[in-house]
Amino acid sequence: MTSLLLALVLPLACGDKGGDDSGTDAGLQVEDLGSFTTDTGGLTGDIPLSVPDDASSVMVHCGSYGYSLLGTAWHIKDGAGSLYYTNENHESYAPAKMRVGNLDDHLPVLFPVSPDHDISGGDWQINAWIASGGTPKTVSCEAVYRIDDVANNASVDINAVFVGLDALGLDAAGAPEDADFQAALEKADELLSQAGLSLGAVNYIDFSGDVDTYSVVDITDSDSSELGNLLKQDVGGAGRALTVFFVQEISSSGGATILGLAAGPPGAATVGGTSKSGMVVTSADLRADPASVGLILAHEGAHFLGLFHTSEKEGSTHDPLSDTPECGSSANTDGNGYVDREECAGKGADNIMFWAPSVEVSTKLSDDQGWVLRRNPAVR
Amino acid sequence: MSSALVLFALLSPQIANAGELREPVLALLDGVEDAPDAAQLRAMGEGVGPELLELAQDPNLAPTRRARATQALGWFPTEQHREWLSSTLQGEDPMLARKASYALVNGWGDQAVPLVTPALASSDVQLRLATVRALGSLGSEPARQALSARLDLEQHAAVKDLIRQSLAR
Repeated sequence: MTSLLLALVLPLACGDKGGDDSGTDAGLQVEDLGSFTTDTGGLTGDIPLSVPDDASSVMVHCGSYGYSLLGTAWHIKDGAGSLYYTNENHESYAPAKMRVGNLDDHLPVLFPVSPDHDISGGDWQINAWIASGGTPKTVSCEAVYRIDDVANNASVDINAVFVGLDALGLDAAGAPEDADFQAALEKADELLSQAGLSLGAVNYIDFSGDVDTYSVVDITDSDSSELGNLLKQDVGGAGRALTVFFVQEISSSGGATILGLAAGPPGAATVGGTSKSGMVVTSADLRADPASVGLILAHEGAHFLGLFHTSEKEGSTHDPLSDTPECGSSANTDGNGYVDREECAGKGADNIMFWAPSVEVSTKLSDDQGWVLRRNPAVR
Repeated sequence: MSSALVLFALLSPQIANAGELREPVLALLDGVEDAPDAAQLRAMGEGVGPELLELAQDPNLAPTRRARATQALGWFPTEQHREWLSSTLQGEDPMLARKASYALVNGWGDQAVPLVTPALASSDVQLRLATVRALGSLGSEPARQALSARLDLEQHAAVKDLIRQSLAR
């Protein structure tokens, strides 16, 4: 918590240009990869990457292709020409310790996301695939290489953006002294610190965009994504940071409340102005249970930085890490289709990246999870 | 617990059942990026509806869990739930009011249109937006009529746009 107490308190007004400062950060190297057009099968040609020898992580992002289309990485080949990742069955390829989502509009791809699948420098290649139904799509791609040392005690700065939280009495001016908000930050810091990652400087920012539209973020309309459009907003603040939009609520299909959502995962770390440039946290519980908001902040922040759920709710999918417990579908003893915390006791329910964590139970991060978190380009 | 309360609990299987399901239902309501759907809640047994009502009404529960319970009540459409949701729609908690609007439409379909239509004129922009989305998801003629009637009266650009989008579907 020391780092939080020492944190830079910097209230900002939205509109001051901050955004992407990755190009001027000595710890990062940015490569403009150019524009690429998909063929009728949806594949781009080879996108060449010059991965520096001292790179500890790479984040490639390509876009935009619209909210109605999904894209993903198809192949990644390392400097030796070997498949590092593939989205298709391949007899000479051992399944990678890697997951890439099928993402709308903008595709961030982060690697490594497991210490069992580390990287080395060289001339890499990536192919993106966009489900455009045979219509060629042109995307612009960029790579961000993390080239500074990975600290055992790392930190990540936060751009805390307040979106229409008048009902909670919370804004950029008051948040530095707001006991509940600081308790939420402290909880997130406590949870992440066990993985060697603490919260660094916090930039407090009032959202000056369309508050009526974005204070309750509706994620049901895939053609005009409120979530993506919110994450695209230029809020100022630091570029090498986690940009967190604190909203009243995220509302999903049928009006269901969602507690938090991170772009990706993983997100477009250090890159502003894309639909994958941040994360959103439902703040409605702040006054009643600030620790639970802190847990959501830590959980979504970890998603953005490259972690997945230890086990997804059906128990059929897990993260690519070797040292996190898996709770398989066989644990679903009550037959409701979910593996819940009770069923997954001793099998990852105590990890903050469990799909349904609780403040009381879900308090742990593994060594491998810390390894991934500390390598992200947004982290120092 | 007094003997009278014990006897009451024994004679009231619905209430006893609801208590037993509190923790399992709450565990389902804890998903960060996922809220449970109707099938998953119904699979837990007959006591889920009463349990959801208790959770929705529990002032000691975190607002988001109460909101999730309120929204899920629409999948257990009883008269008791309809009455509580109708009253919550007009209540002072803006988040629960939004959930009640969705739940009424999700659970009662066209029968909910007259119940939620007054919320289109609420002073709370977010409740108006939620109700437009709820009615828009219904897509029926009564829902479209309610939205059309509001279109000319609505002054807020975001709400007006959403009504137009809903009617265009």
